[in-house]
Amino acid sequence: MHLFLVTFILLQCLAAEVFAEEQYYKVMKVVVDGPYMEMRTGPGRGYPVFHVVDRGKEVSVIKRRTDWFMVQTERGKEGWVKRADMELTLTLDGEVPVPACRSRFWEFLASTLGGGCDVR
Amino acid sequence: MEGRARIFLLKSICVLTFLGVLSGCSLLRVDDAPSRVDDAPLQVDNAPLRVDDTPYEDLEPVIKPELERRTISGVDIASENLEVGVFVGIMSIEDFGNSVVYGARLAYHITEDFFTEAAIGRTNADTTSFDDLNGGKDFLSDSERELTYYNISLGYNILPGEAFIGKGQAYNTALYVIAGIGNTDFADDNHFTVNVGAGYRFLLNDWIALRADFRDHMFDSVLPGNDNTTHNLEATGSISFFF
Repeated sequence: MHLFLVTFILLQCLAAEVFAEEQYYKVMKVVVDGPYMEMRTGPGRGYPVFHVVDRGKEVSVIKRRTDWFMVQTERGKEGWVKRADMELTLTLDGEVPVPACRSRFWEFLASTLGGGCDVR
Repeated sequence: MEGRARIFLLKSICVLTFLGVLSGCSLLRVDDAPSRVDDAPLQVDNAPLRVDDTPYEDLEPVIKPELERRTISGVDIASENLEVGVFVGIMSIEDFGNSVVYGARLAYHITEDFFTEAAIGRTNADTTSFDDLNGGKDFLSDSERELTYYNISLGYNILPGEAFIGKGQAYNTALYVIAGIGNTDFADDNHFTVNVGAGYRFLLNDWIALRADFRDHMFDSVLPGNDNTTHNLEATGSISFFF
């Protein structure tokens, strides 16, 4: 019974992972559309800002952890950008490169309980 | 005379047609300027303004930009929310001494604050005081001494920040508190187990982490004689990878 529960939770986590990836607009490069974009040393608000990318500059999105995105500037600096800043970027097609869910938490709920999120 | 009358008639037809065209155009323009419709309501129902009722948004654009959509195959933004790791450490089973514990963990990071974790661990209980007093006769058989636990826990990252080593090295770290439930298989019996603890995560780079973890596994046990809640403390070190 316990083992079943553990397996179930693990499967749910994996399902959530797949869901999170499916939600994505498949992009690699985005253009900063806000006034600036802050890059932090780690994927969390507790990590310091060490670099700022100007409006109009292009950055490559490398990977994502929870609501944080690791980006690389044209000059090769790598850092983590929060979701709110990513919403202020545009893909080269002019779209916003974030999923429909309002936050990572809702995304997780939607994936575990089923259904999806239509509201950004 | 007859010729002049004909010319007059033709002119009138021309003027009327011209006026008709003009009025037709102005009628068509009502759609573009809806405020005028409000000022002077027209019988729109009786006189359809356009042949088809297609909304303007659905109409094909006059100018088609030569914009090529990028087609990207596969997943371009890789998610790294899973953390898998192996651990080794020391577990103190109440009344059964300290022994080496080893196991594996799989964590899933829901948000930057919360993560869930499933863990499985195994250790062999040492001798209890009863064994020593009993003159060498074993209280538990070898297979019964084997302790296996598995649990699911919810962790919360507190105090995220950086640690500085030397002059030029900075590493991301976080303290976390964690609690969960699970099962402990010990002495041929299953025990419902609650675990609470705290740990320290030290990230070598963005996907390799070193962890120190302290946990108290609590379960009710009748061993070695009286029924009580046992506290089984565990200290482990682990290496884990995000993927």
